[in-house]
Amino acid sequence: MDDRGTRHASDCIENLRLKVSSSEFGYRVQALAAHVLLRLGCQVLEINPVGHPDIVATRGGEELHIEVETEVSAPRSRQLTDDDFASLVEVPGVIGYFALAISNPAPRWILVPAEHLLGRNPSSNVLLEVLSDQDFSDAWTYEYTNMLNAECRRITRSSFSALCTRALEGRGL
Amino acid sequence: MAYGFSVQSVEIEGFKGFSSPKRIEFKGRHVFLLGRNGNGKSSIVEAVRWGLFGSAFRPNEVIKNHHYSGDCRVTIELMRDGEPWTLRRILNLGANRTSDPVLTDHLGNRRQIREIMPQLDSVEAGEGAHIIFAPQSAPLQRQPEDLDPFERTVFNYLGLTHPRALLSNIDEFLEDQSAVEDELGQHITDARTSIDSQIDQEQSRRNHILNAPPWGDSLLPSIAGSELKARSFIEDITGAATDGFEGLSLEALLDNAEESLEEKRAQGRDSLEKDATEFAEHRVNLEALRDIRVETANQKEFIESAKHDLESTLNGVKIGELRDQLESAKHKAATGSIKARIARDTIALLGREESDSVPCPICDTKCDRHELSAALVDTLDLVAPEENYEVADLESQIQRSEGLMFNLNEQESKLSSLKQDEDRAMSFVSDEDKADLTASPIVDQLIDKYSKKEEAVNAQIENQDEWFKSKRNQLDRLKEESRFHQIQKRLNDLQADRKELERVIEAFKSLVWFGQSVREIREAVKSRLSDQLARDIPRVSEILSDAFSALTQHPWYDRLIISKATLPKLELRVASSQDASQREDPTGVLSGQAESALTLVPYFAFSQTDDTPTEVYLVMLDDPTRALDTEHIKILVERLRELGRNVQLIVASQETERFQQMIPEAFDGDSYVIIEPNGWSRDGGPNLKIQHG
Repeated sequence: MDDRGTRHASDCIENLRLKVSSSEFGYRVQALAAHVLLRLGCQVLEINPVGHPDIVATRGGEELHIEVETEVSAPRSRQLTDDDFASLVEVPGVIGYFALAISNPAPRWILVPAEHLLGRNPSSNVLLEVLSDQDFSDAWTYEYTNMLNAECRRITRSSFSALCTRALEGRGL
Repeated sequence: MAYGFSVQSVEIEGFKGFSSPKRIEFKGRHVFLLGRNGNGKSSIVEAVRWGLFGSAFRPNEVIKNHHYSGDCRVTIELMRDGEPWTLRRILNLGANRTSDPVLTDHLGNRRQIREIMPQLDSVEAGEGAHIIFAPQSAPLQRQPEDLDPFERTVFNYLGLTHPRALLSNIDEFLEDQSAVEDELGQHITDARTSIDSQIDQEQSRRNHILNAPPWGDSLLPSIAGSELKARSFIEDITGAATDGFEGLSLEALLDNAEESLEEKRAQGRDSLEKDATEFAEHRVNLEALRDIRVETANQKEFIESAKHDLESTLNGVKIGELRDQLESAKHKAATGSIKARIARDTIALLGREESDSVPCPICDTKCDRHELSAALVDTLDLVAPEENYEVADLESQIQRSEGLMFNLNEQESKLSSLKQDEDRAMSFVSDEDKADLTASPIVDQLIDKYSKKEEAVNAQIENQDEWFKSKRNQLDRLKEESRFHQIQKRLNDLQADRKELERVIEAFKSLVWFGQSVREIREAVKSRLSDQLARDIPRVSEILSDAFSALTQHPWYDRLIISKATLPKLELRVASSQDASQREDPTGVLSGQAESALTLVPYFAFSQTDDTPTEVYLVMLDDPTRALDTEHIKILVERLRELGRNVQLIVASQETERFQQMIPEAFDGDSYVIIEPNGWSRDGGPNLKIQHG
């Protein structure tokens, strides 16, 4: 991704952030995460605005449980509750991820396998990066940035429920 | 008692209340220390404990008897397989207050305690399944124990002390590790955010310059290239070489360039402006002179005309003469006037006379009244008008003449003033110009000369301003170039910092993954420990339950259950065999007496069932009868009797009378010794009454 592409994606997500409330922004990013999963070849089974996990998807024969957290403008303390965490690690056969969306200075994602968070609280971004699945995080960031570049207008205009519906139906943006 | 070491005697010196060495013979028998609290029985228990483990409940510095000048020393004689051994421990009075044990065998050879007593060497003071030391009446004065006695005993009994300690140590390590990871991670995140933000800002500034580069279409200049330009610029400004500027940075060179440019601008402009001002002053002065001269000429003409008018008015008579004539005419007029008044008064008087002949008021001659009146009227008509007309004419002529003279004087004064102005103006005229003015007083030519000079200088100033502006632009471009280099340098520095930070992140990564490995080890240890406990706990719970039941004979709670849910901690619960599902916290449901008995349970339980005794098979009980009534003391003594079949007992109790009564019934006479501390002296320490069974 060149600088211009990153800048454009950054502007897009910044515009969305300015357009909606902080909580709505969190929901939108959650829905966008589901679309990223689609672009990564997954099937999205659930997007839960309340309860946990935030997203359930399948990839090949694997079931993925993902808890999404969004940094609105600056690093903040994580909101991952014990119940959230339990939904990632305590279901046999499920691969859990803690997914952190960062918007500044450039949009990117950190995907941390939940098993790496056992016995600790997700704290600083650098610690999460160290514990993250680097390849998955890179792939996720790549698709997310491309999606923001290509579909910015639709992303900023679509509601959370519209984004969710399309993701659950397997339709991209 | 065929296993391991038994304690034969203990010699105590300088330990707590003990001063000079005091030897107490046990001879491998059970020892019952009886008496009130505070008489030294617990000190004996502690001395044995310190001798064996090197640690009492109280810190080492407290165990030294400060009133005794000798060493703090405990010597324990041991026996194994009929061979005597000696274990001696002396308190080091250095900063760390440690103590070194010395173990010698029956041949007097010094032996490694770790080799001969590996179990004893490895356990912490306060631990060991068969070495017990219950807190006495003032628990707050004791060192806190990090393990519940139950847990300690159970883990030790199951041979899991080390895995449990490992798990505990790993947890402690991971707690520190997590704190360090969090703190370092936050610092690194903050540093990275700050550096990235600064890089972003500097890149934006750099791009702004690159959009309209001050070096135009040329290649991106190097710092050396920009320095060369700056030197060339200075040389251009000053006209001198820049050898003296060797080693100066680009910024310093540009500061010098700016200073030189400003200096040059100030110098050139000052000189030209001075010239321009001088020429303007000359021009203005000459213009004033020209105006004065014109006005002077006009004034002179005016004066001539005034003089002519005056002369015409005076008509050849001098004004003084006119004034004399006027005075004369005024005199005549006055005389005439008096005469006329007299005539009028006389006429009026004559008019009032009744007689026609009246005396003349002047000569008193009798005259005809009518004739006299007629004569007086004639006089009045003839004299008075003439005099008055002459006065009026003269006055008019004098007035007009004086006006003309006043005017003439004013004009002459003005002319005089103009003369002064001209002199003043002339004083500002250069000598050369004065000569020109004298030779050919054409002021306009001189004015033109100075106007041209002024214009020429102003043109020079304008040219210089243009030149300066151009140089200023050139300098500004160089400064922008310099700013670009500074930005580039900051960017390089920031990127170097970022790179360095990446190395820090790599190191941090190693630290975190090391922690992750430790976490995995912890999980493995915990899992193995959990498996082991899952297998052993039911059996242990059975043993504990039997001992608990026998010791307390509680009517309902007869089961002890150990839970491993909170590993590495074990939780102890009491239940009833009639309803095992109801598990209660013992402190919530047991009486104080039952709770007290509960603390003794593990030692009784495991001492009787353990087939693998430790090297020193010894149970020490300090005040086990706390809160026990006679019935329970009986049960305790009975259990001690059973326990004493396998291990050597050292028991301290306040229950002197009841123990004195029960011990002989429970133990063989040659199997025990009763020691009663009774009195104490500073020099001799506690006085011990020893009674053999």
